[in-house]
Parts: sequence; structure tokens; C-alpha cells
Amino acid sequence: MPWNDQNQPNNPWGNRPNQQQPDLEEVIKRLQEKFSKMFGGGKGGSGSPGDLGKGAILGGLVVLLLLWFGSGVYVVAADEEAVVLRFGQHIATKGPGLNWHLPYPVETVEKVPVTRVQRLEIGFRTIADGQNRKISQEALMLTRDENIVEISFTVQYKIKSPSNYLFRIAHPTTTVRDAAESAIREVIGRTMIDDVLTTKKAEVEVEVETLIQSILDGYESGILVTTVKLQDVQPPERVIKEFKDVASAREDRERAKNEAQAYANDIIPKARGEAKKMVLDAQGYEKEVIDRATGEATGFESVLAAYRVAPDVTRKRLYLDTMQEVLSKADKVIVDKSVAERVLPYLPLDRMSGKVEVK
Amino acid sequence: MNAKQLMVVVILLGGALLTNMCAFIVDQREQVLVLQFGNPKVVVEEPGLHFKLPWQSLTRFENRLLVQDAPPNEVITMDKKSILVDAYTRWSIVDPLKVYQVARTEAGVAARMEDMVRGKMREVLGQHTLAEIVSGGEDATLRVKLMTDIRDKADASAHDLGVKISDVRIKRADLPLENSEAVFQRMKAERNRIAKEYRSEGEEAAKEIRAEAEKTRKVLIADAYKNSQIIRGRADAESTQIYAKAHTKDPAFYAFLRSLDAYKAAIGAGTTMVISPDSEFFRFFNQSGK
Repeated sequence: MPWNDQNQPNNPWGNRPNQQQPDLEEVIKRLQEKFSKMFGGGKGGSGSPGDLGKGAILGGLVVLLLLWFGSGVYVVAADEEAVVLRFGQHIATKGPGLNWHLPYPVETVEKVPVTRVQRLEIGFRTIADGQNRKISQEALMLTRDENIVEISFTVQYKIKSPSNYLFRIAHPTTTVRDAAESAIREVIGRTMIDDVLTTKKAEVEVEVETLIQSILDGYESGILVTTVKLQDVQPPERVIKEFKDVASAREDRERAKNEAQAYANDIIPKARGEAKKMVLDAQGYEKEVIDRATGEATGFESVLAAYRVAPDVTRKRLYLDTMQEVLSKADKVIVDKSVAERVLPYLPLDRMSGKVEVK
Repeated sequence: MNAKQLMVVVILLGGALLTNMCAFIVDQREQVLVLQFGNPKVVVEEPGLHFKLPWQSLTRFENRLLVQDAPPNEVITMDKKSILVDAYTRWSIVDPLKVYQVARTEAGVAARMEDMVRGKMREVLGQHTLAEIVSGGEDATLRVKLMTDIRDKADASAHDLGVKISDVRIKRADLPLENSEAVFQRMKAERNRIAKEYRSEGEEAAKEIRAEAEKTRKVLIADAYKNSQIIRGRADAESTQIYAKAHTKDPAFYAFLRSLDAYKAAIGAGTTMVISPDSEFFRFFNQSGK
């Protein structure tokens, strides 16, 4: 397991050889001495050095044993859990802190970063800060209406069950990637392109997340998908121009409507004004004629009243007043009745205006 | 070193060697086949410390769910279209003995299984049209059903290989390159259609709005004309009534008065009148009157 190889500075096995090197020769030497004591009896040497050697050998063994047991000490970091294996069999899972296991080869420990959120990029890879490289093979997919759409997204996940994660699946990262690729295509495959591009992004995210999770649960992978985030959803390069044209056509439609509306807003109030004017004119006319009639009628009645006092004289006066006024303005030809019948046809009436006065 | 000492050393060393040859650890992640001179003897699936005879050897197999990701594979659909299917298989070894007999190694059995799955996939997908495979048919669940079908069929045959197939999933079901070209053309055509539709809709709406506005204007004017005519008529009627009411008091005098007014208005400068001296106006013209 990679995390085991990398970060175990306190692995006692790593440090051992250096410490042990001088001791080892000594121990062997002492061991030899001990053996010769044991089997050789009093033959080889005196009593006192043998006792000394025996003690040293025992001491060495004790030190060795202590070191061996000490090698079972391990630290589990705050974001990890440790899985303890005894002869390869999973017997316990330990939380963060200082722990001890029976030393190798009886027990081994594998640490799993359970709270660390891991991130997978699908359809693109980050190559430098803020710079992405598109991976068309992953990003291009078919929609329900058989259009092609380009989608890149990220999946974030963490380990919810260290034992399943370690023991049920062989290739965790590949497993998540495969599940994600399969899930997004399944979901996009049943969604219309216009929905994918516009309103249904959030729904797609939720559906994909649910689907990935159910696939991973089916494998008993021990992985929990925390977030699925669509990064970039767009039509493929080849047809992007046409998609933009649709967008501008939509704007054109709105603009045409707005222009027409502006025209309507221009002419209707004017018409309303004109209509109002017509009615007001009529009302003015009404007032005018009625007032005039009333005035004239009243005037007539007054004249009539005066006339009735002395009808004949008044008639004469009115007649003569009028005739005076009329005749004073007009050109006059006064012809006696007896000659009129004979002369009249020959009178050059059209040329007589204002010049001739026949009497 | 005498014989006694040598014996102890030999016993100790021999014991260590024997332990090394007889004891073996089975990890949680593996299962072990014990072989005696190449003959499978027993399968150990239980993790932990186990023992064997010194001359027996071990072959270890994965116990976890394995990945087999085959390269994209061209499948001919029922409507004779070709489609590139990229699928993966999740599988595990259930019978190490069979795996050993059939293919010796995990890689060997994986290759055979891959061929088998590809065959099943062609068989199942070949019974459906391109549209069904891509978009999942009417209710969009066909794709899931297809994958389940392939899995079930493959799993049934996988038994002979000593493996279990847990999942076959289609990652990608893409159109081959020449078909993609057709799709792009269709997408373009479709977008052009939609764009045209939008623009025509805009024109339609604009025309409607304008016509509606014109209509409103006409209605407003006509209505106002109607009302003004009514008002004017009413005014004329009323004024006529007023005149009549006054004039009927003395029609003859009215006729006289009105005639005089009419003369005044009708006869102005430039009118030539031929008048007889016998007329009323000249009553006193020829005589001093009596």
C-alpha cells in the first residue's frame, strides 16, 4: 500500500540495522561463548568469565526481544484509520492515536486516510495552476436526442469503510473513474441536449452522484462519493458556431418583439389622444350650437315681443332698414315695369357693374 | 565444537527451515491454492496462518473484486449500424482450482473471460438498434437492462472459468468517426432549424403586436368618431328644437325676419339688381304718398 511505504518515519524496522550492527557481533561472540560453556562443561575455561558471558547473552536477548516488541508501536494520524492484520487476517480497526500491535510477522498494520477527500477529474486534467487540458475521449458523449455534448466534471470521494476499501476491491481509483464515466454517460444518454446545456445541470449532478454511489455500493467498495461537480458543459467545437447562432436567434426574436412593442407603445397613445380630441371637439360643437340656438331663440322672442306692440310700423321699419342696407351695397338697375319686358333681354348686365345707372 | 553442540545447532536451524517451508500466511486479500508437484491439493480461502507439507508449493490468487477494462470494441447493432463500445467488467475469482486448471494464472483467465464477455456483449447489443443502445429506448432504462443482460449471460458462462462476473458496464457507446460526422451535420441542421424558428417566431410576434396596435388605434378612432357624431347630432337636434320652439310663436314674423337677414347676407357688394320702381321699396319713389 502506497501510504504505508511513504509516510512511516517511525517504522522501527527502518532504523534497526544501524543500531544493531555493533551489538550483533558481540551477541554472536557471546552466544558462542555460552554454547561452549554449556556443552564444554568446565573443560574450556574458568567459572567467573562464563557467568559474565551468560549474563551478557541474556541481556542481549532481552534487548533484542524489547526491540522486537517495540517495533509494534505505530501512530495513526488524525485523518487516518488503521487496519490490523494478524497473519493476513483482519482482526481490528484502530482510530487515531498511539497504538501497538504484535510485532512482525504476527501482525501488520495498514493505514487508510478516511477523512481525506480525494478528487478525480474526468474529461480534463489540470496540467498547471488554472490550466486544463481537455480529454475529448472522456468528455464527448451522446445525449438522448443523439446529439454530442462535451462535459467535464470532477468527482470527490472518501473512504467510508477502510476494510471494504482494502479487502473488497483491487483498484480503488480505477473503480471510481470507471463508475463515474459509466454513470455520466448513462445519465446524459437519457437527457436532452438543451436540458443538459441549460436548466438541468444540477439535476444531472445529483443523478450522476447517486448512480456512482450505487455502482460503488454494488461493489462493496467502501467508498463514499461526496460531490459530483460539472465543470464545463458545452457543445462540441465543431458545432459551437451553430449553437451560438441559436442563442443570437433567440435574442433576435426578443428584439423583434420589443421593437414591435415599441411601435405599439408609440401609436396607441397617439390614437388615444386623437380619439379624445374628436370627442372633445364634438362636445365643444354641442355646447356651441346649443348656446347659439338658445341665444338666437331668446333674441327672436325679445324682438317678437317688441314687434307685437306695433306690428305694422315695426315691419315697415325692419323692411326698410334691411333694404337700405342691402341696396346700398348692391349695384342697382331700376327699370320701369312697362319697359322692362322689352329692354331686359338686351341689357348687358354683366358689363354694367358699378358703371351705369339708368333711371 | 563437539558433536553435542553441532546437534543443537542443526536442530535449531532445521527447525527454522522446516517452519519456513511448512507455515504460510494467507492475506485477507488473497486465496491460495496448495500444489503438490504441480497437482492441486487444497484451496485455502481463510486468511491467517496455515501449514503445508514442505514439498508442497503455493499459487496465490486475488480475493478482491478485479477490473478488466477491454479496449473499445466495435459492435454491429440490429439496424446494421456500427458502434464503438467501451465496457469494463468487474469480476472475482471464486474457484482458484478451476482457474488454475483452465488458465494457470489470473492474467490468463482474465484474457479468456474478456473474450467471453465481448461475445456476450455482441450477442445482446446485436438485438437492439443504435438509438436504443445510445439513449436507452422509450423509458431510458434499456441501457441498464442491457448491461444486466450482458452481465447475467457472461456470469452464467463464467462459471466454467472459475470466476464470477459482478458487473459489466458500458462506459462509452460512441459512434464511429464517420457517424460522428453525420451527427455533427445533423446537429448543425437542427440548430439552424431552431435558429430559423426563433427568428420566424420573432417576426410572427412582431407582426401580431403591430397589427394588434393598428387595430387598437382604428378602434379607438372609430369609437371616438362614432361618439363625436352622436354628440354632434344630438346638439343639432337640440338646437333645432330650441329654434323651432321660439319660431313657432310667430312663424310669419320669423319668416319675415329671417328673409330680411337672408337678404342682408345674400346680397352684398357687386350684386347687380334690376328693380322695378313699382316695387314695395319704391312705393314713395314716384309719388309723395298719401
